[in-house]
Amino acid sequence: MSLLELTNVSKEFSVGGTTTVYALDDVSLTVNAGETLAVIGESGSGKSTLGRLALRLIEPTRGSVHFQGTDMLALPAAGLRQLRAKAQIIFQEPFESLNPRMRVADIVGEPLAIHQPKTPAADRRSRVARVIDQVGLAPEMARRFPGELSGGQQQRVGIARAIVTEPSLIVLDEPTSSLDLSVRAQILQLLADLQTELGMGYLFISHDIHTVRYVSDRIAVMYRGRVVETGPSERVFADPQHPYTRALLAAALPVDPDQELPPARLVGDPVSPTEKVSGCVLYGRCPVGEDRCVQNEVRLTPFDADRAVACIKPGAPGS
Amino acid sequence: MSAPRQALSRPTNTGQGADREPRLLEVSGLTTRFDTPDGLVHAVNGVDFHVDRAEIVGVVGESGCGKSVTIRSILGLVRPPGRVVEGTARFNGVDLLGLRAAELRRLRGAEIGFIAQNPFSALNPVMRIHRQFANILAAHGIRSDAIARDRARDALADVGIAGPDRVLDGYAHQLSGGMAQRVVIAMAMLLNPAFVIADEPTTGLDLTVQRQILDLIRGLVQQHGRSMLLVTHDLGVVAQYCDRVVVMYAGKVIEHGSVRDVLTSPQHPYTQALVRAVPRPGHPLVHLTGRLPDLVDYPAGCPFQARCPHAFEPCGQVFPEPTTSASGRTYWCHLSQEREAAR
Repeated sequence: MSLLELTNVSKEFSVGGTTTVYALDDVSLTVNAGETLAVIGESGSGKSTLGRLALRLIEPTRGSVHFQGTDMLALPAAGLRQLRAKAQIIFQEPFESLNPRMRVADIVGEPLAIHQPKTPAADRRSRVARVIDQVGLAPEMARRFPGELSGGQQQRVGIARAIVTEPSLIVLDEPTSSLDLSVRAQILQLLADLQTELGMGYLFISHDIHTVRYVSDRIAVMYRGRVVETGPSERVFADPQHPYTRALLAAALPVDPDQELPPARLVGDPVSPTEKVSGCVLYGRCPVGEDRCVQNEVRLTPFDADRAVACIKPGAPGS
Repeated sequence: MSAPRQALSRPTNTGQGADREPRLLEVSGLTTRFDTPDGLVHAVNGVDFHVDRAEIVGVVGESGCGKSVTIRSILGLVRPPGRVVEGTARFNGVDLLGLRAAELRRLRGAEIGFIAQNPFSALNPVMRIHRQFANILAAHGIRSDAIARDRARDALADVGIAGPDRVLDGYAHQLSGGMAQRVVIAMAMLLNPAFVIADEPTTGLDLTVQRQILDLIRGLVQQHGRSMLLVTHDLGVVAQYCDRVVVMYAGKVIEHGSVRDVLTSPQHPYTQALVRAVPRPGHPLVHLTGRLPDLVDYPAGCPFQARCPHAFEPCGQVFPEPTTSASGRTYWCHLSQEREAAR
């Protein structure tokens, strides 16, 4: 049984009553215990919507979400609250997700107060102190306010708050993209250490290829609301099949000046998410697109034992 | 600022006599402060670097390192409570910091193009795009609307916009991020400047669009023999698009040189940390502890000492002298004396 299982999930937002944003279109994926599934995509790809759906912070238009075998969409409010102790989220902007008027110890302790109200206050305090230590913050930080901390320290508080209820799943929505490079490395290391120690599954949402490659066991590449390629990350990075995956990997600029840059092959900008697309979502930007790419629906189909690609000619030369 | 050691600091000038042509841009001793309620912020602290003709120089560093304040100082765009308190920025021999506002305005646009980070804050949201092009030209003496339209069309064609009239008759909000940045680039190139300053020009853009924009900017710079100062926090952008790089930390230049020298064998411990902090599979992540020094209570000695794994006694007392190699790479670190002694 998977830790998290999304099946044929779609999400449409209505904007101003007249326009529909097609944020997610028929997405299926799973996260297993102890593994990191990275969802990579550019802005507007639907990856953040996906993270929020996984925790039922928003409801899908169609499809189902199961957490440890439980149908999340069928749960009443009380059951959902119980389950949320086991499935947590870490946000991109640490400062904006921390209450500026609460001290660090109270921020980290709040989930315990909500999920385990019967735990004696002294036990709660010692648990908070232990978690604050676990994320590498000095004990005296517990009395500080978020505004007195650096960005990296703020994100450590966000991580402490997420792990204090001992969750089995964490959704990480761009957890390091607002941090400076040298601080980013510290946080990635911390997240990896905590995963080894606590065995949590991570749904790691990011647009940064260097980061995704470093953290993930499997990846799902998203474009315009759809998963276009998925598989073990080593294999997807070594041998990408979808033209978009190839373009995305080619767009990551190597830090080694002697490494040759592959040519940029996509043209133009992504189509607006308010347009309903039939056929392949990359058509128009794709270097190997042809008429039949838009004549039929193009869906994720198995490519080999553990990879799937949404392209009628995966691995086409020139893509 | 202590004077750099003569023999080491001037190798790039050798062979060019006293009557040599002035450098395109030579920044020297640039110091900018902000007077805030918390105290005097030491944002830029004696920065020296130069840009030659037909080269792309990257300025890299993390937030708070002073890279953006440095270029705003050069362009005369620092506003109170900030002020440039010391230094020169000679552009073709003329000190930009000594120019009157009107003279500087003429230079900006005509001789120095500027590409800002966020195209939507660079463009006026309530003015049609063609009017914004016309305003730039009018500020430089070209007042005919017909000529302005032709020039704008050409400029948009140069940045790869097909059907420029539709863009010219529209507003900024109708453009995607990539298209809006193309329009800003077209405006920066409109008067054919010899020098372009770009401040994180692709930071807000999608990755696949980022590549297109960087390729476009580099093409426009190289085709016309222009030079560019490219400010970025992304070492990948530096590695792939720059000839030389200037690394900044806490308002100081701590290392500069050719991109190959600096990225493949960084000498300053901070540059080393930056390069190793890029996640690479199969490599352990090496990270820095601690944080940027307080820019109000600016530390004596090397500003990196508190986070430096190699810090020793002199680092807390005096900022190190520069060390320059035969290839022109320069760095400021007390370890260099140790290294030289060990040789």
